[in-house]
Amino acid sequence: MSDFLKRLFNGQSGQPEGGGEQDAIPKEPFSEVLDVNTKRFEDLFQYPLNSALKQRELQIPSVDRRAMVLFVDGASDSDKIAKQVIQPLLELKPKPGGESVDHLVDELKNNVLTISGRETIGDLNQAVAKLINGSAILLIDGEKQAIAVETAGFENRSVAEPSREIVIKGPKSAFVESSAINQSLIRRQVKDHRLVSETMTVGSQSPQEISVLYMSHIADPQLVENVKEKISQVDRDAILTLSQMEELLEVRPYSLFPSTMTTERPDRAGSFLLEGHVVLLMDNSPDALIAPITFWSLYHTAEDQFLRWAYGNFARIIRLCALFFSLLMPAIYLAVVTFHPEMIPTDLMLAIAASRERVPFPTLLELLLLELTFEILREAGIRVPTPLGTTIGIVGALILGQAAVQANLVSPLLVVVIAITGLSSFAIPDVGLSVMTRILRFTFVLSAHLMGFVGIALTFAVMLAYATSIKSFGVPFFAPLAPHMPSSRDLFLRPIVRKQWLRPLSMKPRNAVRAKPEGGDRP
Amino acid sequence: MIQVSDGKIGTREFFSILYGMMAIRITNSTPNMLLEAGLTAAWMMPLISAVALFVPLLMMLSLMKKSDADLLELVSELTGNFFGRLITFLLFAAVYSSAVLNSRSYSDIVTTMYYPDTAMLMVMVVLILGAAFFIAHRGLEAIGRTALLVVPVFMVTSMILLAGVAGQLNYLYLFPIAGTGVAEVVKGGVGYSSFFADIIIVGVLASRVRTFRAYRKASIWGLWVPAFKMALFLAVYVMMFDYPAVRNIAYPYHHLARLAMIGSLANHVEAVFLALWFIGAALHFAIYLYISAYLLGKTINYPSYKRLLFPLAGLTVILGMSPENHLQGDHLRKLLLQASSALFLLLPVLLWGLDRFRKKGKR
Amino acid sequence: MRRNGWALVGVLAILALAGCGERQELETQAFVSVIGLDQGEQDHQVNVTFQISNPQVNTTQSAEAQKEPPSDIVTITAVDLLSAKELAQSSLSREITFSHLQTIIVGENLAKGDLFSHVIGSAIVDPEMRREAVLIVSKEPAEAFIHANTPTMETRPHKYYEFMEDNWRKTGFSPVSNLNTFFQRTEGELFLAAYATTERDSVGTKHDDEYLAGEVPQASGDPVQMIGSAIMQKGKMVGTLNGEETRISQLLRKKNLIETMTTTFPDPLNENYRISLIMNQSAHTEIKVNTDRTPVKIRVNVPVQVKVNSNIALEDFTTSQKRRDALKNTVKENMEQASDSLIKKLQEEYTGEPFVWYATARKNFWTVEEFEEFDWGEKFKKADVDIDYEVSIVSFGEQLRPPAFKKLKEGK
Repeated sequence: MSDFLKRLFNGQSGQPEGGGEQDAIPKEPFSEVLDVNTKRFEDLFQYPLNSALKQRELQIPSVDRRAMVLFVDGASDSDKIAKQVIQPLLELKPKPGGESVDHLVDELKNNVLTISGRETIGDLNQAVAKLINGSAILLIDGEKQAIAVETAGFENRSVAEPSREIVIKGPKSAFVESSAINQSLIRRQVKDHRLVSETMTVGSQSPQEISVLYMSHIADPQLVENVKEKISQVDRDAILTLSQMEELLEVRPYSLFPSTMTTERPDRAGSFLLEGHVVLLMDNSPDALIAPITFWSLYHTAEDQFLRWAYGNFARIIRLCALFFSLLMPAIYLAVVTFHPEMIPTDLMLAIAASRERVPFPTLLELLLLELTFEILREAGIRVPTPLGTTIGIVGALILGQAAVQANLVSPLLVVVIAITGLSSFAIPDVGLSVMTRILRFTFVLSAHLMGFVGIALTFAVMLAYATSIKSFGVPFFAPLAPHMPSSRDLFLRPIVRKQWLRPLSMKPRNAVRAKPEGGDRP
Repeated sequence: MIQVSDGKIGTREFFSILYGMMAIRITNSTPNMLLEAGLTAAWMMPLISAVALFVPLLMMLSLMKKSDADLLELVSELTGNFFGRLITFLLFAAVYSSAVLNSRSYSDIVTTMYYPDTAMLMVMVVLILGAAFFIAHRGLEAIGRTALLVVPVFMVTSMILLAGVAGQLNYLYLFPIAGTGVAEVVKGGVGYSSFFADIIIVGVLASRVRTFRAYRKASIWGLWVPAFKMALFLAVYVMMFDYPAVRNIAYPYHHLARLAMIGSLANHVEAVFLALWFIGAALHFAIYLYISAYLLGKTINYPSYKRLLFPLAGLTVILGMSPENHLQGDHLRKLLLQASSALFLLLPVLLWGLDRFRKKGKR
Repeated sequence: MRRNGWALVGVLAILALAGCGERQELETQAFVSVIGLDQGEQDHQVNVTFQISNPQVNTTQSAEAQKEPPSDIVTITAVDLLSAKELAQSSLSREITFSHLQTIIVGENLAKGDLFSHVIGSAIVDPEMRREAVLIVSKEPAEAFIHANTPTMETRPHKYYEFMEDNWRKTGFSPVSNLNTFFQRTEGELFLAAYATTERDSVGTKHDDEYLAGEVPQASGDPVQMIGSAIMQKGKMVGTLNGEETRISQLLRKKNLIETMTTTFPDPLNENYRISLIMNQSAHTEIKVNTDRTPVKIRVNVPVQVKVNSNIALEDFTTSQKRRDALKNTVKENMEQASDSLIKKLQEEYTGEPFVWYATARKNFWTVEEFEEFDWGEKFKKADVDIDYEVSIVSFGEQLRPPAFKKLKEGK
């Protein structure tokens, strides 16, 4: 934090101004001689060894000057260049008023090129960055400036249905690999002029653009600063996807608790924006990275809001049960059987005791054996080709379980316990949360083995204390429940939509909040 | 709405901390002391204690509001540096010795009621050096948030516990209404008011709470809710076990948990209550350790007081192990309670008086 | 961050280092479901009988052992329960645990002696002993009772006692009480424990519920009979109440623990027959105690609801208000008479009452000390007790009137 403040006051905020590594591209202005400029580009792109750089030389008839259009093959749309750049230049009629050579570049940019995205650039460095992002560069003989025309034409797939976050009811579009399309998908959800989309660059060798989206009137400005600060600190040669970015942004990469998450649903990203989160988009990633997340982001699914109040909340209660089962069930079984037999109804207790009589292992070993088998089964299920997947499930669950019981390796009740635990872990919506509970489960089993319910209780208390103390970009993990903050109360359960109104921060002027903190309680 | 946290604690967290400090007392040997003193009227004593403490609390609050300072600042400002240090040290001694004695008492409960074959040292180490130390080390914010998450659960489960025994209660056992007699009950209530003295001690954390209003609200609720809970449970103990027998039961809460029936199926659920109670205990000691370390840090002028947590926790275990059995510990505890009652009842009065005196002097 | 990581590792390490002596696998424990206590041959010695459930019988198909008995019964002579538990280990391979103990059976011999209060009083100190265990007094030695108790339906002993105890709530033949209640009434109040036997003691037929265990005319079936109650005072058995008296003593409590009971009364319209009625309580019994006057005045008002579900005289109650009033009166009179005689018996033979009236009396006192000085037990002996039943008939069964055999007969 203090580190950040220092940086802030030194005026080094936000964007990196060309990392040190970018020295490879000389930051020098263009020459007036077209051939010199062209030669420089050719050297940088290792022409002719590298065939990526395409050149199209032409003579602008009206002013009778040579010009050169440069673009990178595959990154830009050559049709667009032909129709909207070259054609207008060739068809340009000399102006009747007289010479306008003085402002030729501006003239061309404003009145000749029909394409909407264009920009005057003065140096090589900028030009290369534009080129690799798909723009075409128009160099004119005798001019020290060039025009970059946005003609990006990367191949895109069309918007498809989500594959991970499937809903029965609700929008069916998912993000694709293009940042621009993704942004438009979000804008379609959130039609608000205050939806800010800032662009930052990451990767010093092969710079990639990363879009930072947030609602300027809702998102906590401190939070936005935190996220941008974190992005600007990323120091890597190349970052290809958001998933890579995710780990770089995290404060605690070793922690079991995730501090960011991705979603492939534009509607989900939209609702996150409206709750004040920051959404990061990047080309090549069919996901949006949600920057600060809380426990609730992991626990909720998109569908909760689409289903009616009772149905959505029912699903949530089931999921909460699943979360606890997945985390604690084997530990509780172990604790009950080895420490607190009085808890089991007498009939069941006798049945367990009877079946355990022939099992040679202590309960812990029995449990770990089965648990491990289940985890292997799950991992195998993901790797095998889809047609075999169901077979693996049947073989694993039915035959293996049955056989293990008959071979007196495990007791039948334990199979039930592990099966319920396994099913529960599949009911947890977020992958991160699911894996986390699966790992923590072993900790709980161990503590139950050592101290029974006391062990479980203490481990739980420690886990809870850790979970509540961690922050993701300054936002506590269990906010707004603990610490309590004004919110739409969409936590364990959701209120009906009419009551889920947001209280934008503008309700209490932000500056006042910073200077003199409110009670922090009642809205 | 997502917001960056400001490092302070709000009303609810602070209330939960207070609840975690005080309400858990119904589960240890506190009820025994009160029942012995008040018999069938024991349930009134927490309320009397709360009333007795309410006046000093209001005095302290008014001082805090006026000078916008926490308890330690008030103390050092009004009594001077030397006496300020001394009072801080006395506060530390009261808090820490209470933590030591209670830690022993809790481990005793576990080894007598649930795990008779387990070494006491083990329970102590795991509880104090393990969980409580870790939670305290995560800082006050984490303590407050953890408390906020678990305290509602405790409230609900204690209601479930009461519902579980409701069928076996007989309200007539609460009579004769005055128990050992009005004078005895009032005397006992005031004498044991340091059961709720935490409300004065947490004054040292006042500057960590977001606003004074939040502090005031939380501390008023935080005094009365645990007091009412304690009164309710004491009444339930008497209604459950009837008065000659209730005096003989060592840890009535745990017997209550044993007798509770949730429906007709689950009638041996005490282990669940054991688990919940132990989460509460870990939290309780975390708060005590944290405040002890904070006060000690202030006394010896050592600002990075979190480093004191580990030595203090270790010392707690060593000191807690030294009494031979819990009766010795209980005896010490009784002495401590009576001694510290006076300290906590009088401290705010003293400060208030000094403040008045000064004002007059200035005029 | 790094330091926090280490702290976490430290906590885990501490947890991992901690071992716990408590851990025990289920199959290494012997779960006692019934304990029997008897007077030993020598003074201050008790015979403790443990009935231990055998998990391999009748629990799960996969681990069924066909030829083993459902429970193992061991009797040990020792000074108290705890030492008996340890001594039993000399012959038992598994460790005895009381965590599933539900029932304690005390032989009448032991219960009547002074030793019992010491045995049970010291047993409760053991944290394994649960206060919700049910106390049953058996007429014969508990050891013999446990051996003889081989119910046909419930092979596993715990199930038998569980169902039997549920039964009491519906019949009222035995009092619903557990060790917790036993320890509540240590100062002279009467405590009722269920009374049971496997022996038969034929006394001829009486009116339906006036039997004590062993007296119910029964041919074949399970050997155990549980009806009536043993009166305990200060931890010592001082007498018995039969089924009827037990039922009434439940009705006279402020909080009746019995849901319904079926009993018979003389038919007011046809003296050759008796009429069976289902009785239950819709409201609490009202008790008023006046301690200011001597003798103490106790007024009890018992509201009961009656259902006529059987009518052996085939008299028609539905057509006439008069007949219904007659029925009401019969019930009222009979109940009041029975109650009065119970009170008289108690006042004459014992110093105390089992109706928890002392709790109502405590209302009249300001401090505990005053109440203790008052000496409720002695005052009750001389008390003027006025019991009043309020009977309401709520149902006459599923037929409007009894089948008209009689009328046909008369017609012919």
